[in-house]
Amino acid sequence: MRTVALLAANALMLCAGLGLLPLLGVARSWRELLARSGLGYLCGLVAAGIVASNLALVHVSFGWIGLALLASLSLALGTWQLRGTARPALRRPTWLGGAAVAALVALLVEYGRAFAVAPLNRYDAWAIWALKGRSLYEFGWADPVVFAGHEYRFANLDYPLWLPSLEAIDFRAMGAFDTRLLHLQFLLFLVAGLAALAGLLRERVPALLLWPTLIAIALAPAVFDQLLTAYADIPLALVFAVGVAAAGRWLITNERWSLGVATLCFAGAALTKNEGLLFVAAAFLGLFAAAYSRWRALAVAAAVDVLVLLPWKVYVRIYDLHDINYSLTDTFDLGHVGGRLGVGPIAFRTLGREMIDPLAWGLIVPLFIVLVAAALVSGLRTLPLYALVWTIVSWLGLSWIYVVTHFEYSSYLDSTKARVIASIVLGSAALIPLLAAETWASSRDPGRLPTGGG
Amino acid sequence: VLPRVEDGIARDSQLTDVQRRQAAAVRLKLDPRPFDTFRATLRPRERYAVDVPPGEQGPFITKGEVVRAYSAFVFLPAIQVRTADRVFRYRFR
Repeated sequence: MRTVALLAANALMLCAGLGLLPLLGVARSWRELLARSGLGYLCGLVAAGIVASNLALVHVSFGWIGLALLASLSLALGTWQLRGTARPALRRPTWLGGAAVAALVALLVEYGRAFAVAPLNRYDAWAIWALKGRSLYEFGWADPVVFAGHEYRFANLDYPLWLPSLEAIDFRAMGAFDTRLLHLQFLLFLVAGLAALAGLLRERVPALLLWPTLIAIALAPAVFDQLLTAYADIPLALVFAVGVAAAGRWLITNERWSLGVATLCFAGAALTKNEGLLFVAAAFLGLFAAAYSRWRALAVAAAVDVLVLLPWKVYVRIYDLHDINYSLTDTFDLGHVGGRLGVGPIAFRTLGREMIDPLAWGLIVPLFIVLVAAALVSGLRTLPLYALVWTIVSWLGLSWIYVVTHFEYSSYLDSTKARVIASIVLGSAALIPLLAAETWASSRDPGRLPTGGG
Repeated sequence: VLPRVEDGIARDSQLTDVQRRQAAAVRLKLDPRPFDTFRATLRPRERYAVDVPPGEQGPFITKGEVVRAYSAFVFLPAIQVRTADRVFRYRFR
């Protein structure tokens, strides 16, 4: 019964996301809605998490009623937007697409058997995420007795509430704090991420590039291992990766809706972990560097993300919450940083080795590097420049954290290195099909320029 | 990948409900029984404090701080505070 309730809550989030697609401009007709419906589930998860986490700050609990209202409102507005537009046309799936979807479904079902029996026994999973999710479920909001409580400082109180809010939605839907079924939600994050990438990229890249990439993501041992821990790193990475791919598509096509999807996903990423804000800042830096002539649209997108994050930052300021692991303001503590500058290169190399570890991530990052180089050689500038800037800035930013932290760096690096890089790896994976398709097209027609100008 | 999946299923599917509830404590090498006993006496939102020696120092926090963190999680919706009439006492063996 609880499984049904969990799935029903996710079905409502899917409905909310499908209704959101016309409002974001992703679908301007029923036909486009069907073609891009893969984006619906992830958009619904992100939107529900954003709404629930912000309502949690003002003493409003978000459960069945909230979900039903969000889904109804979104569907009603989306339906109104699409009235009188072209009806969906069912296309016969290609044999490759059909086979890939069947393989992915089989893999996810197999994963599901493991997720259905996993215990919640990893430190960060219960000490940070499930503790906050349960507190939201039990108290109905981000009650400061816990969320700003001195005895709860160990729980990274300054981390935003997107993931705990989704966990709380699940607990409310199930009517219980069920740590076993909670793992299914993490598997559903993977389903949503893969579907979103398919919905986003299917029209732009050949099936031969898209489906192997999605299978490579799903098969990466680190994706399975880390999702099963119920940590936030892979959910963050999946949401961020869809944002990266949407922004990449926007660079090529200049379609406003792609930037809208990227903005939504970047807001979700920034509301998941503090490191998410680093990745989002790096992505915007890459976008500004690659498409500075379109700075107005980017400024609006960045402003929207700041606005979504603002209520949480106000809460953090009101209750004077601090990161217990590091403080970026220590960058200016020359006495502290001066003695630890040697940590930077060590962390940079260590994280780099983690990213190219084939036993964790397969060949995702080596392939990404080859494709960025090939894109540059073929004369492309916008997409590879964006890819280079956000990955390198993210990598440098993560490495800097180990410089400014007051923890002993080697222990801190050892305990986090495998998972903090997940967003860089999956973000890179999400760009692989676009990079390959654009490079291929450019090499066949050197005079061709992408719609976005280059 | 799939052998890892099968290993996980084989290992975790044998857990009873009690073992699954106590899995985090067992992983931390804590005795779960005192936590279960104290939890049964707590009411929602009741304030309690934790009395535990610092214990050995781990890479980031002491064993005592781990017990405080685990108590905060497992005793929800009761609320951990620094001092209270209700006190959970835990001693390392």
